[in-house]
Amino acid sequence: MPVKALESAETCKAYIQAIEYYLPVAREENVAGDRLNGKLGITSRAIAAEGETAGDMAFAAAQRLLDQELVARSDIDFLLLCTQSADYVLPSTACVLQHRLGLAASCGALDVNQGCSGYVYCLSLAKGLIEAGMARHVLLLTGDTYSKYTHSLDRSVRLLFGDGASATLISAAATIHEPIGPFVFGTDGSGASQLIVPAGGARLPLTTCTDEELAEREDTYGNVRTAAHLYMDGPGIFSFTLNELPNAFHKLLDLTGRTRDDYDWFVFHQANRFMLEQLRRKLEIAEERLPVLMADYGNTVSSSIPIALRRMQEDGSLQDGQLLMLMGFGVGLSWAACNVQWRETKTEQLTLSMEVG
Amino acid sequence: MNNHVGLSIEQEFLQRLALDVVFVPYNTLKLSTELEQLEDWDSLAVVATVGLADTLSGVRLSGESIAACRQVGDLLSLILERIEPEREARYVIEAAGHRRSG
Repeated sequence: MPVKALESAETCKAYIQAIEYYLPVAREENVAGDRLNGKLGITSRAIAAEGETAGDMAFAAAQRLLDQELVARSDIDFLLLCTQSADYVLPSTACVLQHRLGLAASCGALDVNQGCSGYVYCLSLAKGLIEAGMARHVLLLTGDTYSKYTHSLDRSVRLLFGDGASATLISAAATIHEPIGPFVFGTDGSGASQLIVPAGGARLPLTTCTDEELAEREDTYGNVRTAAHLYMDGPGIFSFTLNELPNAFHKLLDLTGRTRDDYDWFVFHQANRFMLEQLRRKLEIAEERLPVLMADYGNTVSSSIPIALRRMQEDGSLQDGQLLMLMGFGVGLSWAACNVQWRETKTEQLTLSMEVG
Repeated sequence: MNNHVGLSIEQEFLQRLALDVVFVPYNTLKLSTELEQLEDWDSLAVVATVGLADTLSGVRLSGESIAACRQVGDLLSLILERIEPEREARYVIEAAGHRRSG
């Protein structure tokens, strides 16, 4: 790919060069005809094999992307892995993947522990690294195996979450446009217990858990879980999205001076059809502008936005120059939104004045 | 005045509950209807009721308080209890404006 220096009106900007994803082969079917499943809009979920980790899936997604040879492996300056089901307590799975993917020793690598808002957060980190001149190519990976956290008898989460991973190549370009950004962030840690795996971390280590703490308990809806399983307060999470996301949405519109009509697509975290439909109505977004793409693989947490983008690219929905709003929200509680100006055309990559690495 | 306010909210509540939450014809739903009798009254309906209360009056209900309700009327009472007098007044004004423009 040709390289060039900055011209007067241009600045160094980060842009999304390519996205790939990986879904495990195995599927768990949600019972067809079940009324709840019909409303959630999820027919089957991708389930990681026994022994298949978030690191393995992120590796597979990264291989698909790097095998396209858009960039040499040795030119990846930074590896970010967004996951909440890391392969080890330590080290960072990103460090393991640097070696496994054959990336340079000069490549920075770290894990980001964030869930459904994680992709948007990591885009902001990649943009910062590139536009501050610290990296030319950032490999952003996402991957999670929430299915390993859910109890088989807990329909409140079991019917929703699927496993998956994605890989996004974010590169520097000389441009007068703003391919990624601006961003709006938000956090409400007071809701941390509304979506949580209580045991297994330092607060409640599995090694010191009592039998009482690890006992199976049935809630008022007949859902069963232990302290080591994923718990979700559905009404609480939904209340939070209705409360906070309209503010974030309007703040982003205000920041950019845009209106709803300026956007070609609103690519939101693919939680489930019910949630997206309620949010769409609340934000008064036209139905055809908000893709719902999780029916055959489920809610894949931080991978849901990049998988949706790749699918839209594959079916021709995404076109060069289109304006997108991405919004992630969930566990934390955490949310983030940003604009993306989509670009399909091959861009001349920028030679940074400073030497990276 | 109070009767009028109660009636407006009640009508809109029943309509939205019927069409958006439990998916039954509007006229089949009464305040005395047992929630357990409704096929679509499930955990997601509880979540949808959070949305209904928000849309109707900006009231934030907890999942537990909704799940504890037995009849349709209990849900409405839950919402009405939480509505502040000033919000109630604003609802009437907005509803009146909506009717004029509609």
